[in-house]
Amino acid sequence: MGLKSNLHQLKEKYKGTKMAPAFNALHTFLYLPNETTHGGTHIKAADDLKRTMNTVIMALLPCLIYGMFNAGYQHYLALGDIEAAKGFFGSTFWTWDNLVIGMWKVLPLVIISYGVGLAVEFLFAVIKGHEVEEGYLVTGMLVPLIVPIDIPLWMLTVAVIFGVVIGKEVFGGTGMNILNPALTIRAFLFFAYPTWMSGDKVWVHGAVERDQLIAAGENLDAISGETILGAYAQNNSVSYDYWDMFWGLIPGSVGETSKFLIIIGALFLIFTKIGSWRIIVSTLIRCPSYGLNF
Amino acid sequence: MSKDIKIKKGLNIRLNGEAGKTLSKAPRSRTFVIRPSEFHLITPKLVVKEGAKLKAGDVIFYSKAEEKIKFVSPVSGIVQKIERGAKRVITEIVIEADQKDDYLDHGVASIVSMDENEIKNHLLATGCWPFIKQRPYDIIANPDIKPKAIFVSAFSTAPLAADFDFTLMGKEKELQAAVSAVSKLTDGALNVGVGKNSKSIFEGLKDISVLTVTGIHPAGNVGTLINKLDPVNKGEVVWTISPQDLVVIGELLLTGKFNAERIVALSGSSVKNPKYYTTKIGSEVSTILYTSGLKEEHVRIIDGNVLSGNKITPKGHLGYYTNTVTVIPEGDDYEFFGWNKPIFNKLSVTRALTFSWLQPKKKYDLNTNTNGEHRAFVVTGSFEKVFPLDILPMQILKACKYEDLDEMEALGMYEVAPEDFALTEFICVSKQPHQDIIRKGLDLMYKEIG
Repeated sequence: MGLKSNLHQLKEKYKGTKMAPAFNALHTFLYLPNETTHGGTHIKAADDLKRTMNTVIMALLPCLIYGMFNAGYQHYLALGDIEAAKGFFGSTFWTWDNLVIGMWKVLPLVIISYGVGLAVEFLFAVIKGHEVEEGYLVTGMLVPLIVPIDIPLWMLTVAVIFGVVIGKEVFGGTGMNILNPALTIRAFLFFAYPTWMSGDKVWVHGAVERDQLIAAGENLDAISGETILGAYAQNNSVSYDYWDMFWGLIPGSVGETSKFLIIIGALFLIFTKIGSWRIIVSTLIRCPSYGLNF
Repeated sequence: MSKDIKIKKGLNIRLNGEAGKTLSKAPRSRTFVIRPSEFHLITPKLVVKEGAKLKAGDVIFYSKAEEKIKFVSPVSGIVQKIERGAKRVITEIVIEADQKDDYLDHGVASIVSMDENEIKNHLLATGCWPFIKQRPYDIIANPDIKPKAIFVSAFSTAPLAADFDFTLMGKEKELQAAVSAVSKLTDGALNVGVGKNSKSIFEGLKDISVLTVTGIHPAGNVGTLINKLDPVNKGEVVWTISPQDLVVIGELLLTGKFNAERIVALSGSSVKNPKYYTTKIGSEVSTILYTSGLKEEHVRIIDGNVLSGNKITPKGHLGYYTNTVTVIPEGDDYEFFGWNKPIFNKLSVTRALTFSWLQPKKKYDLNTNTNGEHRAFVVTGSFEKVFPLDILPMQILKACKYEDLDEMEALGMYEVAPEDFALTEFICVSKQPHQDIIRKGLDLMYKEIG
């Protein structure tokens, strides 16, 4: 095969150079490497770190796709252009228009998250001379799912750089980190740019923009897109029923709204034996119990 | 008296190419090789020069640190060559064999009347001592320390390993002599692990305590038995002996001859006719490879089983402790999108688009590809599912990597051997060399604590 042998020759050519980790990282995306065992066990199981991380990404993809539709749905719903969808398969939810808005807003988040994060990873790999580790594949997918839809891309860029460097690389990279890089990014955003991470304007695409137009003197209705927790905090009435919350027809961070798909993802991870049900269950028990204590 | 041990955590790796239960005599090897590197941490002090004439059982070298421990020639012949490597370390002692063995006669030992010291000195003098290993450190036993127990595992669960029920057939006399003698060396028991469903030869022997073992690999590892029955704490020592080496010891006691003969399983998916051979320690591996024939050219020849054996060349020789030779295909080829496509033909403990869980009884043709690259340890929680010892595997591996002796000690380093970590190494998604890490950790401990 032409491609295979060409890439193999390039790999041999780069061997031992500074750029080897960067090249190898790209190469291994195309081909499982030709490495063989030396001592120890002469055979190895089929799974590697890439497959492990890739399985987590597969579990996240439904949330990402749902998040795209929901971004458009919340936008048009707030504008009053569409009726509220009834249930998960509501006719006004799975529409082309919703998806277009969602893709327009969410894909840049994904691209920035992966582009910036992997650039930092490659940089550190080249400087320190180790291979690019696959841990960021999952982080890069989690980041767009846990930020508000309208977050400015430059903020995300700064946060991702901070999160990957402080959350992971300073400790030595994947496997050595004591912080979760994705949550470090989220925490950084929350404390550095609180106005963009809370309140009732950031969860629905267009709300902030609309506010700015109103402030400029235009005669428009403000869009309110507060989350359910936000509504409770302000003693407002909540206009969503439990099924909306379960299916995910509510404002929130991109991928967090649909409990249904999150549960499916969790079950998939437990089934594939990549996720540990003990950790998932204990987190679910621990969170409310801590919450009730304060 | 028998005790039951049941092992639930682990993994049976089913491979194609199991050795058929037929026995042939391997052609006599022209040369025999002793590799001092197989005797871990032993620095050899030679007593023969190139060109010296040897009888089977003549001493070739002894341990520099413990001069009582002697290593003898498995055959009679002439020392053809002493190969040295870097820093003039002796790598191989090549013996050109005579057509027929001429044995050094140590005389028949009267096991019943011999006491502990006499037996010990007899085994040391005749070159049988290297068959006895100790934990901690998984090295040749220190003859000056009395072990609290001795362990033998006659249950083979490693992939494609020789079946002891077959290789020990007809050796009751030798085994009885060996266990009667060796059991005098400890105040504790001589524990022998046998498979529950097997008709083990050991069940009819005296002077031993039989452990009935059920379950999946590593149920047959001697380390598993030790951990389940009588864990090794600081300051304690247990010895381990392989059953096939007991046969050599037994024959020496009964006849006075050091007969290095042993039955070796030639197995693996690259072997045309996998079966058992009668051969001798240190024989050329080609003598059995070419009798059985290979299916392909590009193969990995392993002196031992696929989990903990050593790579050797087709011109290589059998190891001192080996009873299995495995030949599997090399895997040095790329696989397009191999990291994310569904996998049906490889073994996996997850279900991450790997489908080996659908056919738990299927046998595989695994090659030597690592199926991924070396990465840092990532906590996956999967090691614990294949690791039956009451030890935290990830933590002890990391302690070995950052060389924290206190932590290694606290986590149970005294009772582990590299082979106990073969399964965790097999399933490790980061493709870390667990056995190597443990070996280096043990060496460090030995150097620092002793």
